[in-house]
Parts: sequence; structure tokens; C-alpha cells
Amino acid sequence: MAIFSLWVINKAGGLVYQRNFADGLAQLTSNEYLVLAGTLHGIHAITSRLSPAGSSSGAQVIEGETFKMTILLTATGTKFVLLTSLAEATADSVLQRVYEAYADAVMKNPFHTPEMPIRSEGFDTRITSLIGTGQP
Amino acid sequence: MQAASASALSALADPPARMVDGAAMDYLLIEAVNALRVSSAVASARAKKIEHDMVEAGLVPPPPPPPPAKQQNPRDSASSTSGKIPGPADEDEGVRSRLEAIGMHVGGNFAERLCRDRPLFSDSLDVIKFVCKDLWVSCWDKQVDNLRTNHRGVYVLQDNAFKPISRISSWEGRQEALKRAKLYVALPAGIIRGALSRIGFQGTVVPEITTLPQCTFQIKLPKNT
Repeated sequence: MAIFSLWVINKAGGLVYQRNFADGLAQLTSNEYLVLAGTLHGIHAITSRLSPAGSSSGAQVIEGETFKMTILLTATGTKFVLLTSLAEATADSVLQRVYEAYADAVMKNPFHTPEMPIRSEGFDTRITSLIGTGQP
Repeated sequence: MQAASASALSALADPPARMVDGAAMDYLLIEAVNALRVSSAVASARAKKIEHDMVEAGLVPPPPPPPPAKQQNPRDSASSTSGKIPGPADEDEGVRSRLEAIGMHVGGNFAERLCRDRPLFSDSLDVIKFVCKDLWVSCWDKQVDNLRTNHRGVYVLQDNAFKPISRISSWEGRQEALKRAKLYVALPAGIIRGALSRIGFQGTVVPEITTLPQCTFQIKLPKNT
């Protein structure tokens, strides 16, 4: 019942925001996070073609043995990825609220360059008040 | 659907008591911290002068000389390996204890009013839940986000967006803002401690801030309950 980490991936596949909350994930270098985000972007694009039942927008939940990844694809191509434990049921609503915080704190920030890494204290504060430490 | 409307109705019928005007509390906290900082600086200067005078008169042996200058940076008050607490932390201690004393007074009276129509508390966990819900709602308009306990008298209350520190920022950056915010949580810690002591549990409350709007309070209650 824990939220492990949050990634925000821009429409080109580059990681623009990455933050860990509860422990449970291995510590990786920032380069490794960039590589993983790019890989996920590619896989997500492939899964949109793999749907056996008509057109699809891509994978929404990827489950492993000890964690699950919930992906929210927005209309603009930005992906919000939340890594949580298997039992966490609120991932979708948390991602919706992260998207709202993104629209409020990042998109309306005149000093933020679109598709570039997010360096905004307001966004960090909103995410902290939303997710906290990720433990229930 | 039924459950949602029932809880909304009960909130309308029996609204939670709000004891504090939010804006007034914010302004008061800002002014109180500054005023108490000046006042405790005066008090500690007076105490130091008296001590100095007594040393001069020979009534009190002079204090041990300060440890050899191992500090690379005279402003570095973070390391306490030298055993003598440097100046700024001392003054902060004075302000903090005064703020906590004020908070204890306030918290005790809050608890009296909030507990007026309540049945008796069954155990210490019940008291902590009362603090997390009723006290927090009446002072800061929201409930505590996370409560953890080790079932042996230690409770950790976590608030992801604690109201008194939610608007603190510093032009010097986040670390500076965090340092200054530590003083502003002394009054709320005192409120919690006062409420607990009026209910009958003499415990300690230690506030901690790791990232800015998030604050945790560690409450240690005595063993016998």
C-alpha cells in the first residue's frame, strides 16, 4: 500500500521529472532513470499497436511481482507514470491530481520551458502535499 | 451514493467546531515569533550579563574556556561534537520554549472546550485520534494525513500540508526556508502538548520538518497507559 515513485515523461520520450517516495525501489543514477524512461516510452508506443481489439492508446497498467506501474497518457502526449505497490488502489486518482498539479504549477509557470526538465518548487510542494511519503 | 449524502448531511447537521480564525492565527504566529525572538535575546543578554558580573565579583568560578577552535567556519552551528552549544541555537531554544509554553496554555483550553460533550476516552489511542481529527480540524481546518504508532506509547502524526508552514518561503532558497520554518512549528507543538496534558497524558511532542509543507509530530506518551 505504498507509492514508490513518480515519473513525468514528455512527448519525445525524455524524462522531465522523477521523484522517489517510500523506499522499496533500488537507488539508480539519474542516467539510468533517463534510459528507463526512454525505454518505457518506446514500449508504450509499441503496445498501442498490439491491441487485439481495435485502436488503443497504449498500456495503462504494467504489473510485476512486487510493484505495478500505472501510466496516464494525456492528450498532449505527456506521460505520468506512478510506481506503486501491488495493493495500491488509488493510483489512477493520484495520477489525475498530479496532472492537475502539473497544469497549475508547471504549465502556468512563465519561466518553465515546455518539454524541459521541471525545476519548480511550487510543483514539488504540491506533490508533497498530495503524496507525502507514499506510505498509507 | 447513500453513504456520501449521509456523511454530507451529518457534517451539515453537526458542523465541526472551528476554534481558530485561520488568517488571524497566521498573522499572530508571524508577529509572535519575531517579538519573542527579540524578547528572548534581551532576556538571555541580561542573564549573560549577570553571569559575567558574578564572575567578575568572584562569586562564581569562571566558565571553562571554549574548546580549541576546531570550527572551520564560525557560523557552522550544525555540529555539536564540541559539547558547547553555540550562540544561535541557544537563542532559538529560548524562543522555542516560550512559544511552546504559550501553545500549551492555548492547547489546554482548546481541549477543555472540544471535550465538553464527548464521552470519556477509552485509551491513549483514542486520545491521539481525537487530536488527529478534532483538534486538527478545529485549529487548521483539515485532518492529519497519516498516523503511525509502535503501540508502545510512540505515535507519529504526519501532515502533508501543514497550514502554519504552508506559506513559508525564503529568497535564499529551500534550505533557508526550512531552517526558519522550524521555529514556527513550536507553537502548534505546544498546542498538541497542552491538549494532551489537560486530558491527562504528560507526554512530549517533537515536531520535524523534512520537506516544506510536510510536517511530522512525534508524540511520546508515558508508559503506564
